[in-house]
Amino acid sequence: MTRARLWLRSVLLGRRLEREMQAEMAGHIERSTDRLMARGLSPEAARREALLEFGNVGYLQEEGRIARGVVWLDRLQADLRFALRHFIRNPLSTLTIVAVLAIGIAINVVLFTIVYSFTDRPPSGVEASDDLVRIRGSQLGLGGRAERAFTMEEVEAYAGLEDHFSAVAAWTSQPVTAEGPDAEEITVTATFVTGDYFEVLGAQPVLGSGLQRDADQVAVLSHATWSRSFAEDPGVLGRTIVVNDVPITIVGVAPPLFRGAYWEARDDMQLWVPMADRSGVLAPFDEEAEIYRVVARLRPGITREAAGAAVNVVADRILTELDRARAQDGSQLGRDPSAEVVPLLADNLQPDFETNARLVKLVFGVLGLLTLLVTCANVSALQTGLALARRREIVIRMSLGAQRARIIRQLVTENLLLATLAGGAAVGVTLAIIRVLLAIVGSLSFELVFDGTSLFFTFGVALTAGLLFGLSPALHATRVAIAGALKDSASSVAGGRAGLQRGLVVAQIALTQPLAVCVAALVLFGVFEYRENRPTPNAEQIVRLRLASPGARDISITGGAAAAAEREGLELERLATAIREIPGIAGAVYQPNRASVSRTAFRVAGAAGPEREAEPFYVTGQAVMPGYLEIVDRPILLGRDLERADTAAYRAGAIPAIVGDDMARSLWGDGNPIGRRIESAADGEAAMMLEVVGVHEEAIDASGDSRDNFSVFLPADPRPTGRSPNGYLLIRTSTSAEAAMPAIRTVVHDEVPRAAITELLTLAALEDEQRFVLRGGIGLILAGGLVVLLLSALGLYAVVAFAVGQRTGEIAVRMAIGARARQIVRHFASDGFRLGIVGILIGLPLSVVGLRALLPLQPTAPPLVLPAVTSIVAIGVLMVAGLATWIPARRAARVDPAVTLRRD
Amino acid sequence: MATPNFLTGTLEMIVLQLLRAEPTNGYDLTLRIQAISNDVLNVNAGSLYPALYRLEQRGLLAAKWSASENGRRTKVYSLTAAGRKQLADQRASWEQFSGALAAILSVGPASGDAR
Repeated sequence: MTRARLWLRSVLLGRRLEREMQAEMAGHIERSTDRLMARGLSPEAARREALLEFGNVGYLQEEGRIARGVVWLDRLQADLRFALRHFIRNPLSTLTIVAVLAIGIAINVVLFTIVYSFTDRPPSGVEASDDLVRIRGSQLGLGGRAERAFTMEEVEAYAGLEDHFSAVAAWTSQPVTAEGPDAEEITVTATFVTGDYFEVLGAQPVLGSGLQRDADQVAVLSHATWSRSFAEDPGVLGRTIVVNDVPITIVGVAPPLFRGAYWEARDDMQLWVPMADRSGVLAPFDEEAEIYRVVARLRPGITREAAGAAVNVVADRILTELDRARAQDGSQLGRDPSAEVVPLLADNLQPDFETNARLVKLVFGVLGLLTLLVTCANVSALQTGLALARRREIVIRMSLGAQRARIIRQLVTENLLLATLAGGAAVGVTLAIIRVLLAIVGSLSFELVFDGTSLFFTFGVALTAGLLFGLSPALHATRVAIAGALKDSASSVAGGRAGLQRGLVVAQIALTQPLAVCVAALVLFGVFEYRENRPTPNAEQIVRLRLASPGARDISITGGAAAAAEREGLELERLATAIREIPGIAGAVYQPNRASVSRTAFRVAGAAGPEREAEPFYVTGQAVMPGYLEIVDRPILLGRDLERADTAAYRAGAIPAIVGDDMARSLWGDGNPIGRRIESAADGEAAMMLEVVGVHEEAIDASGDSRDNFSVFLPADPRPTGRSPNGYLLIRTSTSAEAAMPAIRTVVHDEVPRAAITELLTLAALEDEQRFVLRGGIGLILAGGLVVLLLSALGLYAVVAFAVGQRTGEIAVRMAIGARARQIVRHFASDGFRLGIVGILIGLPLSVVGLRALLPLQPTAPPLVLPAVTSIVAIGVLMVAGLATWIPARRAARVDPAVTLRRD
Repeated sequence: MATPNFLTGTLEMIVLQLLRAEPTNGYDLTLRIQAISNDVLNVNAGSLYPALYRLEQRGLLAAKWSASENGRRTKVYSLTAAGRKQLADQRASWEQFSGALAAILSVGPASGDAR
């Protein structure tokens, strides 16, 4: 303890202690001089004698520094000064290395930032805490587990677990139309919260006192609502806004980044209202609705696992009760509902979050590691070249008595300094990339955070890189026999020296290849996705209409009871019917947002057709309401359309499905597809059996190529599931959609006067937007990949150019004794080519591993695509390597033997 | 700790012993060592300082700057509690060691061994 304090003191007060030591020793010598002068010596003689008596002052001071344990600090300072001088003398190579490193590190940090923000951070504006948890409900749906929101009864049961949770809060959200400050109509997401909501999330309003317990008809505005609708008026407190005729007093403004426990308002226009106001603002609603989501704070000392076990017990009991009660009134609970306790993260409301997070970590981790290794190999090769150029300097220092360890330390210090500079630059580059990223994709469901952890990661990566790329050249450069190296002019070849450099070139190619393969695969996957995302036929004649809180009834989130679901359907069909009456409208159908089946492997069940015995294919399923197919211009050719009753099959039996004629032909040839079944290749929870009840015309034929990827239509369950509570109307116009829009608006206002239209767009516009985002993503990956490839090529070029430069003497001799320029070029180029081949062979297994990791992203990629990608990339890398060698080799061949040899 | 350097260990013990008697500065300490040891310990006057810094760094000595009688500022060293304990330990082991050495040296040549 004392020692540590004393050590710290000697490090921190180094300068003062140094001064004190010098003063003390000088004082000693002065007093000796005085004493000797008193004995009669002349001042000069006395001083000389005193110094003699004292001993070697410089040596003793060094001993004193060693005693204080701060010698390393002095040496570090000297090393740093030396390194800085070296950098200033070689600005170009320093800048190149820092830039290359900074880009490599920045790519890593961006990947880290995305992974970290997505998998490890609480919702935006909520402070990270291990005590914060979500109680997450789920049930089996199409294609696996999906989120299931709770009934109030369940929420209360969990809130009763007072031994485990210090506070439990629930919320439910609904878009509503409100009358703003100037009586204008604004659409906001109203989030109804229980008393503990803000307390659990630890969020304090920036203005006002917030929601007090037992208060009603009050609201806290989101920062965006405050700034957009109230121009950040500080006097907003106490003013009222009217939501569905209910005046609500504003009592607070939330912090700028706060979006609640889950991001629900895409435009951040949100207000938080006490749960008590729900029945006032949104007239009669189903008490048993499964619409509540839950966050909680663990009691100190309680682990998530312990809380999870307690929640499980309660869930078992209450879900059994609920199931029994539902069975009596004819409605039913979803399949296999359950509840679990998970950390409160921004985006983990859905049960598939953990799988996605793992995949993201794996993919980004592989990409990051490869980028870092390529960068290091690149810089290492550059450094080896530079260290060789400094060999004379190193040798002279060693011959003057510098120890090898000392010089290695010097070189490593230099590299760590470079890495630190690059780390600093990488922070800037990262922030810029994040900004561009956000500009392209708009808002994300999680907040991209660059915080202390990210900084720690950045400099961790930078210093690791510094050691990685710096150590081997340093070790190598100092491993020279002094006599040999001094004799050796800078232009002759030594086997070992070229060896390391060649090794690094090979390493670089070996790493570049898998990286390029992964990037190419990702880009290709993106292109596949783009092609799969085929436009709906006549999309410009189809309009999507979304409403906020249409009318007195909260239509889209009523749930639980069959009667309520029926009411919901009637309500929407009433609107759809009214819209169908408009001249120029060909049809309108309600379409709830329902979980769909994401791409899943299927096979023909039972007695299969001749061609597709057990061979699996991929199916994407979309849950739709009856009448949907007609609207999207896919007429039924055979069999029937879907019916309401079809949803019963989700609980038991084969799910009725409508398939395209191309799929029917592909699976069953000319045989009758009706009544045939296909089953998912997966077992267990996700297992699913589909029965063909109809065949529709696939308007866009996949131009003959045998696709293994089909989409089918399944019956949409109109019961709410908690996921995206709002449905929409799809309206088909017979002529121009633009012309029909005013009429549609009028009908909506007449039929459901208090509803606000939140979306009225053609499908063409919506699909364009989706494609734009996809294109942006592909472009971004492509750009990143090209940067890495360019980095690699530059490194290769620099290394070879340097090696050639070093061998000009040899080239000159060869040419002097009759070698032709072409022979010289061939010699160097074939050398580079050989290195390239070796690198590619070494990199091949890595490419395979990388592709394996990426494959789950696009299981339908044709099997031949990946080997093809690998080969093309290998050829590409080889060509780049060839070019990077050929250019300097050609320059070498222009060597004038007379000039070069005279120089030596 | 063993004493690889006999002289260093001895010098440290002497410094600790003298400073226990009276806190003082480096210069006066040198004079005192020279006077007491009668030039047996013939070391440079300056060698004392690294030893003082080592002891200070180990927390055995504390140092304070103060003005001496002729107005010069000098650094005065004194023993800390840890220093006092260290001195006691070293003395004990030294006495044990020198006792053993004295016993060995007092053994005379065996009779009849003379050649």
